[in-house]
Amino acid sequence: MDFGAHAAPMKHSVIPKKLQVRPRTRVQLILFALLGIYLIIAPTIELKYFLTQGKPVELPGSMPESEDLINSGVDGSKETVIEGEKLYKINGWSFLTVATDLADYDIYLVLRSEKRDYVFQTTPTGRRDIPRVFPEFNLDLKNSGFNVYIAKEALRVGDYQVCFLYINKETGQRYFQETDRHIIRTPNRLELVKIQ
Amino acid sequence: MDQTRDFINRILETRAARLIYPFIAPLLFGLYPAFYYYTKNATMVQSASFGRVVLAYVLLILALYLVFLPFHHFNGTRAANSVSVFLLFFNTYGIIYNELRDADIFRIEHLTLLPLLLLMAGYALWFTMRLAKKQAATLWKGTVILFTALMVLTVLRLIPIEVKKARIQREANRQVEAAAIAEAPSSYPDIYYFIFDEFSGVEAMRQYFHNTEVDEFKAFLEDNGFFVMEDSFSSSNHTVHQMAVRMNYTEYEYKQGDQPIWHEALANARGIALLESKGYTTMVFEEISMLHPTLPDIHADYLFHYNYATEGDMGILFDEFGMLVADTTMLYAFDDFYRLGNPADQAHKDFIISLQERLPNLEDIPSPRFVYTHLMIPHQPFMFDRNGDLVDVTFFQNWNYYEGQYIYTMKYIEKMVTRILANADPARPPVIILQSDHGARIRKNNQELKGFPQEMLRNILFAVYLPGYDTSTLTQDENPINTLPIIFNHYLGEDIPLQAPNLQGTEEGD
Repeated sequence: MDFGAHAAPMKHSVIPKKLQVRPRTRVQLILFALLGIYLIIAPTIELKYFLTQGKPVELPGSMPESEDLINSGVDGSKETVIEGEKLYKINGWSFLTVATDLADYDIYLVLRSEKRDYVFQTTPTGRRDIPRVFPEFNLDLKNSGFNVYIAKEALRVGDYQVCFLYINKETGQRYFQETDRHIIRTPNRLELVKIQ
Repeated sequence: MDQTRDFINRILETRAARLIYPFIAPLLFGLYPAFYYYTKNATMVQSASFGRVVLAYVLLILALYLVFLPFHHFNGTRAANSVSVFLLFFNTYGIIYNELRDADIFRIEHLTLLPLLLLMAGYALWFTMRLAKKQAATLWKGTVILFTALMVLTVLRLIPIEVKKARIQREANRQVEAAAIAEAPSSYPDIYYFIFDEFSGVEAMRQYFHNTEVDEFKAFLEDNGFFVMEDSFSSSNHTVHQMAVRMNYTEYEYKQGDQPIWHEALANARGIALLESKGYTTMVFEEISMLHPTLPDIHADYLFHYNYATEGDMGILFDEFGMLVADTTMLYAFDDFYRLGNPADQAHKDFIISLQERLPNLEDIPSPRFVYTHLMIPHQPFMFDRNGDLVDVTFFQNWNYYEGQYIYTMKYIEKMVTRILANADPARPPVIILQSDHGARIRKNNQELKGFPQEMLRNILFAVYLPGYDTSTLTQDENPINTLPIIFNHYLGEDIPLQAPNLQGTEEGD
C-alpha cells in the first residue's frame, strides 16, 4: 500500500531552514528584545513622567550677545534630594552692574553647548560677603546669591558653558553673560569645572 | 570500618538526607562574603553584628533553596546549584553597580542595572537547569570544595584576631587596682578635653574649601583667650591609635592588627589614672564606640556612651556592618529602606545635641573634674548642614557634605565654649582643649572631592584655653602627644618630658 499518496501535504515555511529559530530560542530573543527596549525607554519615561524638578524652562526668543555687564561667581555644585528626587544644587552669586534693583529681574542660569542652550530658573539667596567685596556698586547686593537645581537626566552628556541671563520683568530687556565656568555632564555625574 | 561506611551511605541514600546535604554548597557560597567582610573588619565589628548578618543569610539561603526545590523535582543537588547561581548575582550586585558607576562609561541606574542583572541571573539559572546529571554533580562538588577551602582560610585568619580580641576584653574587664586617691587641692582646675573627630586643621579649609568662616572661628577662639596652633599634625590617621597615644602620652608604633593594643591602652589610659590619683572626678562622654564597637569601656568615674548599643539584645540587622554587607548585594538598590531612620544615626544626633546642654552644667559632679568628650563630628555620617538642619540620609557618606557639617561643628564649639566659660567660677577658670584626632581624610581616590592636598590629611584642630599659662612657650606645630603633659606639668606639678613636633607620620588609618 502506498500511504504516501494519502498523507497530508507538509507545510513549508517561507523562511530558509538555516534561518529558522526554535520556539525556545524565540522566547529568549523576545526577552532580550524586551529588555533592550526597556533599557532604552526607561530613562526617558523616568525623565518625562517621574522627575518633576530640576528641568530646564522654555524661553521664547533667542539669547542676546554676551556683554560684560554681569558680575558672577559659581561656588559649587553638589548632589541633593528635594522631595525624593536626586538633583544637583549649583550655588553662587551674580548681579547686573547696570541694574538699580536686582528684584526687577528674573535671573536664569544658562548651560550652553554647541548644539543647544538649557535655561534654568534661579532662586535668590542672601549673601553677606558680596556687598563687602563690591562696595563700589550703588546696588543692594544682599540678595545677590542664587541656588539652582538641575536634574542631570535633563541634560545630554557633554560640556556646557555656564552663562547668566537677566530679563527685566517690566520691559523684557535681556542681558547675557558667558563665564569661564563649565559643567560637564558625564553618564553618571555633573561636574563643575573652571576652564582657564 | 566497612559497617560504618555502609551506615553512612545508607543515611546519605535516604530521601531526607538527599534533600538536606546538598544545602551545604549554597550555604558555604552564600555565607562567604559575610565571613570575608567580617575578617577584614574583625577588630571593629562585634560578633553580635556578624551573627545577625549570618542568621539573615542562612534564612535567605534556606528560603531560596525551598523555592528552587520544586522547580527541580526535589533534586537537592540541582536546587543547590540554582541557589548558588542566584547568590552569585545577588551578592555581587552592589560591587558591580559601584564599579560601573565609578568607571562612568555609560549611565548606571538601579532602574536599569537591576533588571539587567536579574535577567542575566535568570538566564544563568536556565543554563544550570539544563546541565546533565553528571555536570550538575561536578558543579556542586566544585562549589563545596572551593568554598570550604576559602572558609577554612578565612577562619584561620580570624582565629588569632578573635583570640587577641578576647584577651584584651578580659584584661579590660578586670578590675583596675584601686589607686591611692589623694584629696584634691582646691586649686586644681576643671579640665575639658574635647575631640572633634575628622575636624580638619583650619589651613586646609582655607586652601581647599576657600572657607573664610574658619578665620572667624579662629578669631572667636583667640578673642576668648584660646591659643590656636595651626601647624599641629597627628602621627597617624587612625582614631583609636591617636587617642591611645594622647591619653597615655606614649607614641605607639602604628602597625596593622595592633588595634586591640590601642583599645586596651585607651580603655585604661594613663592620663585618666593619674588624674584620679590626684583626686579628680573623671567623666568620659564618647562616641568612638559608634565606629569602634569592640572598644572596651574606658575606665572613668562616669562613662557615657552614645545611647545605642548593638549588643545585649537582637539589635538591628542594618548596623554599620549590616549595611556594609548589604551595600554589596542587590539590597543596595533599595538602600533607602535600611538607611532611613537608622536608630544609630538618631542616637548620634541625640547625643550631640544633649551634650550641648549637659556639659556646661556639671555642678552636680564633684570638682575638680576631668571631662573627656569625643564626638563624631564632623566625621561621617554628614548628617548636619551648616545650620544644624538634617541632611538627606542619601548623602550621609557624601564628602560634598563635609564642609557643611564642619561649619556646624564650628558653631557647636562656639556655643559650647561660650556656655562653659559663662558658667565657670571666675576664681577657678577651667582648662579647655579643643582638638581633632586627625584631619579630613579626603584621599586621592575620593570620588566627590578631588585634589585635596594630601599633606593636610593629618593637619588637626588644636586650640587650648590655659588660664595662667604662658602660651608663648607653645609652638604652632605643637605635637598633640604633649596635650596632657603640658597641663599636668603646669597645673598638677608633674614633670613629664615633652615631645618634638610630628613632622613625619603615617597617613594610614581609617
